[in-house]
Amino acid sequence: MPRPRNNLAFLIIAKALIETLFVVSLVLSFHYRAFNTRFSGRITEVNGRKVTGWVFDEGAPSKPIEVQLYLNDQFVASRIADHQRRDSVNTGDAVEDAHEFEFDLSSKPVGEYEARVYVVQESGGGARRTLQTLHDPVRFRVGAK
Amino acid sequence: MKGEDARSEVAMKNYPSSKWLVACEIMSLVSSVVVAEWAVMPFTGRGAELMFAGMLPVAAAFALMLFSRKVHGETWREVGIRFDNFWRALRLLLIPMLLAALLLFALGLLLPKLEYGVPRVRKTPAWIFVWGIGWGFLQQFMLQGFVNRRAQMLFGKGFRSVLVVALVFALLHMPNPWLTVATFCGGLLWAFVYQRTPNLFALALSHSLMTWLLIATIPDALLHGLRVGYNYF
Repeated sequence: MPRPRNNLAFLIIAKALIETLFVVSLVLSFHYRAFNTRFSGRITEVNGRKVTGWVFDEGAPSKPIEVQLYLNDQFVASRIADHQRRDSVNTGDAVEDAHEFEFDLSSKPVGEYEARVYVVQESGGGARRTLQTLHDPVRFRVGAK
Repeated sequence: MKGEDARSEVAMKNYPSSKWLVACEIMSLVSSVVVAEWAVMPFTGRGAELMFAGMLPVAAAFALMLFSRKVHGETWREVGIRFDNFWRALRLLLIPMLLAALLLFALGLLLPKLEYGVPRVRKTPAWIFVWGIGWGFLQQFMLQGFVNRRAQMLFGKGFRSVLVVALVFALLHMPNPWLTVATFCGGLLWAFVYQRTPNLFALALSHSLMTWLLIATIPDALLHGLRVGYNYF
């Protein structure tokens, strides 16, 4: 095979390898930024009237955090957890700079519910929004008022 | 000119034993575009990050095309960067383009409304036309100046190589159904004309006009802003 052809074959192979490595690095970088679990938090109270809890971002402790409530896998509401946790000093799992959130459930009809709270993480300059589970799902009942 | 065309034919048949390499060249170019459309778009952010990440597959594709051109001994004139056959190429394009325009206007009347379906910044015909010529030239350079010439090395001039070009062009516009069909038809026409009269400027002009007609007649709800790859969703 003439030398220029060999060089072309080499270029094609090198290009394939570079593009493969490039895609792998894109995927790894994407996964790290979109799914990096740096949030901690807890649902502290669930009853027929409200869902409350706190959330903390280890990467940006003072930054307000968006949380979303889903009841029975249906989106209910979104809140910005942006105020200081009131009882952080009194509880064993205290985290300074944790932010409280509260969802009002007073308009919910009677029934059994499963509540899930997710933290919204933005990445890619706002191009992507991923949801991370904050806590195990909590089951509760809304009774007759 | 006949001598040059003949030389071009000879250059294409210089190394019949390395057809696999020519096929790899086509696949390599396609892979760069696929990486840009299906990996860079979903896995990067916006703005500078997207531009920076998108540069790698584009640069790789151009490195391949330029080096391959050198290896195959192709001149720019053979590739289609020339003016002497511009009007001849346009004449070949004229009637199919008129027929396509009539079809698009008919579809435009049948579909909900006749309007520009692209985002506001692209709504002026002049902007679409100028943008379209540059973008059209780039696409035709890759498609005809590279893929078509290598398809001819594999299958010779004629239906099979024209079909390869159209299929590659359509594949790279998936999963947008309207654009896939439109680019398949356009790919057939442009590949056929290029094989008879290689002139990338005439093809870029035709590409631009047909793009303008497409977005002027088919509603954006169907065209999805001409988005392709992951960006379509």
